[in-house]
Amino acid sequence: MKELLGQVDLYNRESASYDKAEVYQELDQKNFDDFDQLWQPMLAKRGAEVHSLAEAANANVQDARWDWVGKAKVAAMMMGQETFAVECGETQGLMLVNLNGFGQIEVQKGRELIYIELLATAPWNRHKLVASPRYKGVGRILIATAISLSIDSGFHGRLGLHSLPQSESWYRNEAKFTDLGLDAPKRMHYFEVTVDQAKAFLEDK
Amino acid sequence: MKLHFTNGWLQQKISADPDVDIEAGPAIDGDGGHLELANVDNAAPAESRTRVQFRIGLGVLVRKLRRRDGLSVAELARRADVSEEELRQVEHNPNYTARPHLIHQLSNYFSVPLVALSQMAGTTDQIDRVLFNETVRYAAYSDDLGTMSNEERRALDAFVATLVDRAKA
Repeated sequence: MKELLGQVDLYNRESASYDKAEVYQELDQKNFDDFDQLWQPMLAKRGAEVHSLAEAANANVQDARWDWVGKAKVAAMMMGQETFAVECGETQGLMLVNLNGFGQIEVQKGRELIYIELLATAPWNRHKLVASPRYKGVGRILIATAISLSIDSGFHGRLGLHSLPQSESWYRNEAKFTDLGLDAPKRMHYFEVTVDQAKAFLEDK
Repeated sequence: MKLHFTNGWLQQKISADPDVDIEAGPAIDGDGGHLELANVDNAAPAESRTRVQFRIGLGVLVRKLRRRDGLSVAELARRADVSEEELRQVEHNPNYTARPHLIHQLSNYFSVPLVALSQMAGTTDQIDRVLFNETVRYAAYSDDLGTMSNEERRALDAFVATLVDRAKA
């Protein structure tokens, strides 16, 4: 069942102030409707305007075919999966995580971690997709939520994820996660977060 | 579960974060992210041998552009915001399929038409025969030894002009 985890501040670029948003664990019909009726049309429209995969990657419409609804319904029945939503009126961001991940870097090889399967911000918040994106901070909130889940699950903040290309620099330079390089089969960079990196990520400085 | 962060932390970090879309999951060229794109009208479907030859040309072109600008692989990767490892693959491994993001970033950085680079990377199903022939010719007469001569520079400029022309065609 959908559960409110807390209220968070989301930066509204239009008003240059912070709006109150909510973080929920487990998606419900409102999130599915927002994805189908608000996200999908924008992603599909932009996708139809580009002529190559390179343009599509740059327009940041990779998730146009991610089946959030199907995946969230399966996750609700699985012990090892959790879904999260950030809402501020509409659904501003979605995340699907797997609790059955294992560490690959030496310091935590074989140790349990939270693996982020999917993480996406609403299309109107993406600066590569719209001229004036609405909210900033959705991705950071979801990453911090995943680390919180890792702490509460006894994994001490350990996290793993495959980054979309346009996000790699943020994970590497801002979040300071470990970049394990290109994962050949997935053709994406794999990032991992150690216990110390998770602590540093959540520090007030 | 409990959120292990405060709104004070969040505001501080959001204000310092650059404008980067933070996302994770399969890319459009990865597993399961297929996307319907507008049609690309070109001549012939690319075969595997054609792709390899095109990619040899792409590797030569990227090396030449990088040398022209006096950049190391690491420096170009940093400036164009791409993976250094992937850049090396593009320059030297014709069996490697460059990710769309890298092609787009290189197109932007060097101001070379995206549609031409995408074809050279072998990421499109169809190819422009004229572009293919020009690429093979350019790659065949190029070498990477020593500093770039004026003749090499002229040949590079001419080839880039051809890419621009073919993108308009």
